[in-house]
Order: sequence, then structure tokens, then C-alpha cells
Amino acid sequence: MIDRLSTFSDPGVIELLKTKFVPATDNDWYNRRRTDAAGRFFMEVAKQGPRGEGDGTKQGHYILTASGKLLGFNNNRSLERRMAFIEDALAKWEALPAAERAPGAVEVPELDSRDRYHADPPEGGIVLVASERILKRAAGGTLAACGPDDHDHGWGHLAAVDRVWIRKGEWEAMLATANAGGGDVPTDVALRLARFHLTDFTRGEPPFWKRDEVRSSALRIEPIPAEKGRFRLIGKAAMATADGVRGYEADLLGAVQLDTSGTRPARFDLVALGDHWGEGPFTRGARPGKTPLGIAFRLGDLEVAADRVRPQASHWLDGYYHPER
Amino acid sequence: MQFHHLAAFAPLASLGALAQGDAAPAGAPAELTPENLPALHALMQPRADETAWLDIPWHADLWSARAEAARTGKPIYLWEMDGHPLGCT
Repeated sequence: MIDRLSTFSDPGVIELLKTKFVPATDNDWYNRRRTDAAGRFFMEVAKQGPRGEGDGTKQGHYILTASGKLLGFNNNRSLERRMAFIEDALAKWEALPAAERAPGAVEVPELDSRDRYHADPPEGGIVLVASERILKRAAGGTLAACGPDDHDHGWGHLAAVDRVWIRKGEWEAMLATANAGGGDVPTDVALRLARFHLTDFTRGEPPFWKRDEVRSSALRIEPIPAEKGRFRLIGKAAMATADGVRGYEADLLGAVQLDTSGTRPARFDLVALGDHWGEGPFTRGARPGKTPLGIAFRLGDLEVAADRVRPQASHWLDGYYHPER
Repeated sequence: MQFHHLAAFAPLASLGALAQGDAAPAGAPAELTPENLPALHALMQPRADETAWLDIPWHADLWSARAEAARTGKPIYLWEMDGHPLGCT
């Protein structure tokens, strides 16, 4: 997270990456487990660097050629060292034979098979972008975004982002329910939101709620009277660990507007708002006590690369889609 | 933070400026009501000062970046994390 605000917000780095490189991001948890061509390519690159072979983490910053030659590796957040790493690797690139650097010198086939560590957004489904902030109560009964002085943590006050996947059949069920006068959204959708998305991920990957930690979860979709093609979402959710040291109690309210086909959402806006308390083993640094946490969901755009990134909670995709399990 | 049952609903047009990167407001009413929904929704969006790093045209996977690098004759800069850098990390 800190790289986003430091190195990758530096105008010099941004310009270099935009003009001299093809910038890429990827998820090491999957890449080091994949056995398809994409996974094998990554591991061949990684083993040329200090991460080496084996099952351990391969995370870091790599500069490489399309043929798979590693030109540099860095895992230091200092802007000075990051720039030196980029310039050194660029010099190595420019020292390669021109024929090796020429456009079209390397042929990259389409991936003809993908293994279980790869997942695309659900065909015909919808993708929501979840944006989350820790909030503070301010004058006049308002809520305000926290700043760095409100939280004893380097970046926990920043907005954090994840994605939600809703399958085609689930969306169609929601739409049918709304068109029939309103009712509960599919249990899998309400419980998926509660277990995997109504969490505090402002300081990284949180512990997702276990099934029995969801004390209650309800989300209804209803038509808005006299407003064709528009629906409201209303719900509540309460989650807490058995010992009560971590929890979140939130109200949910949202609005859906259909596109001109009447079958797909043109907008899907949902807010969860409530008090959160506690932290997880990898998300230390929570504010003490119960404090306000807000999560906003909006419709993603699959033409945007970032919106195709899978939900963090989907390591076990079947369990993500079937949160009763 | 109780929501109210909805006699009327906020015009969705007022939710129009909620895309990532838009300037989020400094604050919003604390009650989750239809009238307050646009302001609360906007409050949680990343602000422009938090999204400069998205000016970089990141690929979301190495293989697609590799294909572009081969086509354009450029090296690849790969940011690889446990947890996707463009997602929840």
C-alpha cells in the first residue's frame, strides 16, 4: 500500500514507467502456485533473482524482458533505491542486442489453458468495486474521512479497494425478486458480502468472517414506487468473533438503476456504515474501541484492468461463491 | 447510524460523481438515509491525491503485459505482491 503513495506517486517514476516500460501488477499468492504457461514463465523469471526457487514468497519488483530474462529485482521502498534499480535495469535492457529488443522479436501465444489458480470475473455476472475508509465523528453530527493525524498507522487512513463478484444467476434472481415486488437477495450474495466484504481491510488483508461469526445478515431489494427500472437495497449485518474482540455492525442502503435493456444494472451503489472494532494478525494497528467504518460499493467496468482483479477472499473460489460452506 | 425506511429515494443522478479518483468530500452526514447516500458513498471513494499511482497504465496480470512488451519492444516492470497490488493488500 505504501508504494502507491511513495514510489508510484513520484512524477519521475510515473513518467519512466509510462514511456519506457510495460507496467504490470500481479498476485504472487497465485503466480507461485500456477502450473500453466503463465505460472511457469513467472517462476522462470523469479528463480533468476534473490527469491530463487521453492514455495516461498516471490513478491517484489522485477524488471524483465518478454523472453523472460530478469534485468533487475528490488524490494526496497526507498525512492532513491527504486530509481537506481529502474535506471540500472533500463541500462541493461539498452545493452541487449537490438534484435532482441525489437518489436515482434518474441512471440507470446494466447494462454490456451489456465489452472485452478486463475479465475476470470463471472460470465454474465456483475463486478462491484468496494472502497472503504475509517471515519471519524465530526462537528454537527457528521462523519469525516480520517487523516494521518487521526490514526497511529502509516496508511490505515487511506481508502482501500477490493472487488465483489456476483454471478449471473444471482443477479437474475435479484432482478426477478425486485420485479416481483421485492424480497431478500439470494442468501449467497448477502452472506458473501457479510463474510468477505464487510471487513476492515484498510490495513491489508483482514481475517474474513467465519460462517458462525456472522450473527445476522439481511439484504432486501425492492422496487422504488413509480420509478421504473430503479430499486433500493436495504439491509443490516452484524459480525463478531466468539470472544467478541473483533466485530462490525453495519446498516446497508443502496440503489440500483437498470440500463435501457432492463436486464442489466447501469448503476449499483451500496453503502455499509457502522462501527468496527478489533484487528487481525496481519492488520495490526486498529484504532481502540468501536469506531466508524464505511464501505461503498459501485459497479465495476470490465474494460478497466483493475476491475478484473479477483476478490481478495476468493483464494478458494467455490467457498467464496458458496459462503454457507 | 440507523437507516430510515424510504418514503422517497435520492435521485440516482446525484450519484453521478462517484467514480474512483473523483475528489471525495471531507465529510458527510452520519445518518444512512436516501438523502445522505450520495455524500456517504462519495466519502469512501479514493481521493485524487490517493490515486496518482493509477496514472500508470498497469496491466493486472503478467501474461498480458508480456504480450504487449513483445509487441512494442519494451521491458516489463512487474510489481508482484502477496495480494494483488491493484486490490486488497
